[in-house]
Amino acid sequence: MSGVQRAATILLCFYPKDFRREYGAAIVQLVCDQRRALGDASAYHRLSFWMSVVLDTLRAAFVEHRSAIQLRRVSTATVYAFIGTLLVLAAVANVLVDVVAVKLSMGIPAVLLTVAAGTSGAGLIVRSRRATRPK
Amino acid sequence: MRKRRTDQQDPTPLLPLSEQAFHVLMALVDKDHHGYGLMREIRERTSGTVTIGAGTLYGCLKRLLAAELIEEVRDRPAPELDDERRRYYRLTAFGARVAAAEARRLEVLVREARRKRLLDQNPGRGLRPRPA
Repeated sequence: MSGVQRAATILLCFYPKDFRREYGAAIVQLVCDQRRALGDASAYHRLSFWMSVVLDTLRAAFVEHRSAIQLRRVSTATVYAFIGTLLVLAAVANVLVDVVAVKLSMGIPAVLLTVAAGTSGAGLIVRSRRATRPK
Repeated sequence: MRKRRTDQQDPTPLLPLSEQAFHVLMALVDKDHHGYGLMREIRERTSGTVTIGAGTLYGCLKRLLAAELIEEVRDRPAPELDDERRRYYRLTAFGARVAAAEARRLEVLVREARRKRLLDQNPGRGLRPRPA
């Protein structure tokens, strides 16, 4: 591995893991191509080349991390919606079973659990909707 | 399953494109390119006024791929002629329509700037004096 390749590979650690896995090799190759095109440049040109590579890495890594965080927010919202729906369904099913069985024999703990499941489920669904709403 | 873009799809929701995205799409109009080819083409076409770094370029390519404006090319040059780490990209039909829509949008802006004489030798020559 050449020095240029090694330096470009080290800079990859600034990017999010998924982006690094997908485009890391291509980015290293591109930096190597750029450095090769520079040829036998003076120390000043080589320094300004590496400065621009580092600055671009920091800028691009910031953008990619931000977009990864935004994606994660959406997936958290999906989990909230899923768990919320499950809780609401469980509460509704609990009530239905009692009504169909015409027992209406839910004890106080069962009633409290059903109400808690229903309200927390509804709360999670509302929260997930808020998280996915465009700002 | 993800719905593929069709020829009828409206390109306007994707406008305005970022400057980098528009440059990348323009570079891919004539031929397929790999990352370094794109970088070189953009630098040469703009006489060095626009340069895109490696990370920024691949971030931009990632977003263009997600929006299906470009696609990765599977048929590549022979391995002995090229480095296998290089990835080649091609403009899709939808990407060409989005680029054309962006060019038309910019054309309208330039026409308006010309009408307001901003592109004259001395822009602002005919401005009325502002009240004190």
